[in-house]
Amino acid sequence: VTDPDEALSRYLVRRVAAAEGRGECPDANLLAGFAEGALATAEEERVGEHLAGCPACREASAEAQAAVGFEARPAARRRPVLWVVSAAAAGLLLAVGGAALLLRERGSRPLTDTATRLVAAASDLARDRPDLFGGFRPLDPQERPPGAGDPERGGARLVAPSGVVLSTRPAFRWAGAPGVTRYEVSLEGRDGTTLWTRAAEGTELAYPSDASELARGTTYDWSLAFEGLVGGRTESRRAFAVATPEEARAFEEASHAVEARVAPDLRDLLLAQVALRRGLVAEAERLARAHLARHPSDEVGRATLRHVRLLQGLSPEPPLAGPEGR
Amino acid sequence: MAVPGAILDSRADDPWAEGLAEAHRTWGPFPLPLDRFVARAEALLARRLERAGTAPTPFARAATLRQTARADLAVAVACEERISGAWEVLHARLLPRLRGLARKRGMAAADAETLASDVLSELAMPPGGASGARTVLGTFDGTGSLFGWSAVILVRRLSRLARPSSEPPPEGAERSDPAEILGDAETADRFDAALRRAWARLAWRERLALAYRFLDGRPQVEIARLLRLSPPRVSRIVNGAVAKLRDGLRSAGLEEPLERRLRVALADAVRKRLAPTSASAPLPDRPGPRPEAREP
Repeated sequence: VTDPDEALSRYLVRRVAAAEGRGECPDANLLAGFAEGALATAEEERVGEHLAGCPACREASAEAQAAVGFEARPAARRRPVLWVVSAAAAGLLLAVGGAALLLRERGSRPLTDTATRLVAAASDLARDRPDLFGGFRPLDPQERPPGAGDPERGGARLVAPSGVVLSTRPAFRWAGAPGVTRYEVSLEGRDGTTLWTRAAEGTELAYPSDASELARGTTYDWSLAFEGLVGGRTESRRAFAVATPEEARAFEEASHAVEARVAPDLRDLLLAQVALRRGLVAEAERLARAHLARHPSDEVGRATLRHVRLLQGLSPEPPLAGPEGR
Repeated sequence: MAVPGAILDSRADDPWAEGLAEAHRTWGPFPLPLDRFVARAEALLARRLERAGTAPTPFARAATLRQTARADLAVAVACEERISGAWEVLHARLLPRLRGLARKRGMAAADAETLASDVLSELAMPPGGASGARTVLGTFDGTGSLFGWSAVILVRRLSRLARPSSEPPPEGAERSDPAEILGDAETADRFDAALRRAWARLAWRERLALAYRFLDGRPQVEIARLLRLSPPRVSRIVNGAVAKLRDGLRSAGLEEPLERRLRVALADAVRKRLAPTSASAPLPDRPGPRPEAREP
């Protein structure tokens, strides 16, 4: 080691690694799973942490990976591949009217149900584009948004914009109060300065054409005020953020990657979930609805839309289309 | 080779049946009843979800099932269930691969044969702990492949043979000379504390990349393979992580002069190693206070 930078780096790493505790070594299942890229994210992190401080496990894991061949097994286990079935099996399948060529994952069930296919697609995307999908985890149908409680009772419900929006001129949408048709929409900066106020009828307002567009990476509050039927002014507020240029670009890139690598019938749904994970609630809603328009009975699509609605402060059920802020 | 039940087992909607059929195709025939395989495999799957701290929702189950080496698991379960012919199938396929692995690690042919046989014998022994399995092989749960799992066992066995004592590996040698390089003990303590803080802030992938690079001396291409990243990305990770460590030291008040002193001391150490006969003589270009002995 003659390069001074190299020597210094080596010294620092050796010094700190020597002082690190190692904890209990993972069993052979975990090490083999780590070597073959087959662990769940949290487990992979735990094992990776251990490996950084344990030379024996690093060596064992590296040997396991070299032994199975890095590309061969994990790729075969993870990627759908075309399988030409054997002559005998093909004969049997043809006899019962089946196909001789099946699209299936090696050594596992055919990729038929949406949930399994989503997991498969997410795993392939994470492997091919870790920069875009490294932390992406498809939505579990039983998952609820953090902090999602009962939808707001009484008053109007501010549906969009919420979370993070891509557009710098987003449309405003709310679930109206019973019997109320006239509303007042205001937009404020985080310092409380009112940027504009507009009157609206119905439950939607396009971004005013004469108002300045929103700044990327900035958080705003919007409010909705109206006179109730029994008198008295009611006002509801909601914060949202405009995606930074990097966030907007990353989502666009993710859309292209999904377009290029995911089966057409799964694209909108997968991208809806990607949008959800990034807080892009409006995008997630648009994409989930687009998916459901083509696959209205798909349970994962419905679960995704329910998740979106909870984030928007709406009740998780009804409608795929209807008066509620559509 | 015709395997009774293999075709019928390939029911399109049953991943375990598919795994069993795949095992017959890739490993060889053994008469493991599907229900016994499913019972054992489902129990192992549930344990994996529990180990990962994942709620056993249908979605999590589907994701884990998808990542399971089901054919390999079928062979392991067949052996664990003492199915006739299963150990022979395992032996026939695994022994040559383990022997090859041992040979690759520099063992003579006879030693490699012995080691591979020993590892296979170990798989048939009762396991430690409370796994509920009859054999070590019964603890295989299909997280990775059976060969990868056996490779870990073989390498660990080799490590035990090579390092019979429980001495820590030699990587911590620098730890023993803080005063020599860093000066006083207080500075060394501050240095270590700042370094540990900076290290703790690194992501696990950064730490592991640094360990592969500076502790194991692996080349960038190999680290990229191990971390499943591109070599340029590994380079960025390593350089970024080193910069973070050094920033951590600076932000703790351990400023540039200390870093310069360290560089010089390390360079000295290298030169001493290269020229052991002059190791005790001070080097002419070393900055800082000269030793007393140089006074006239």
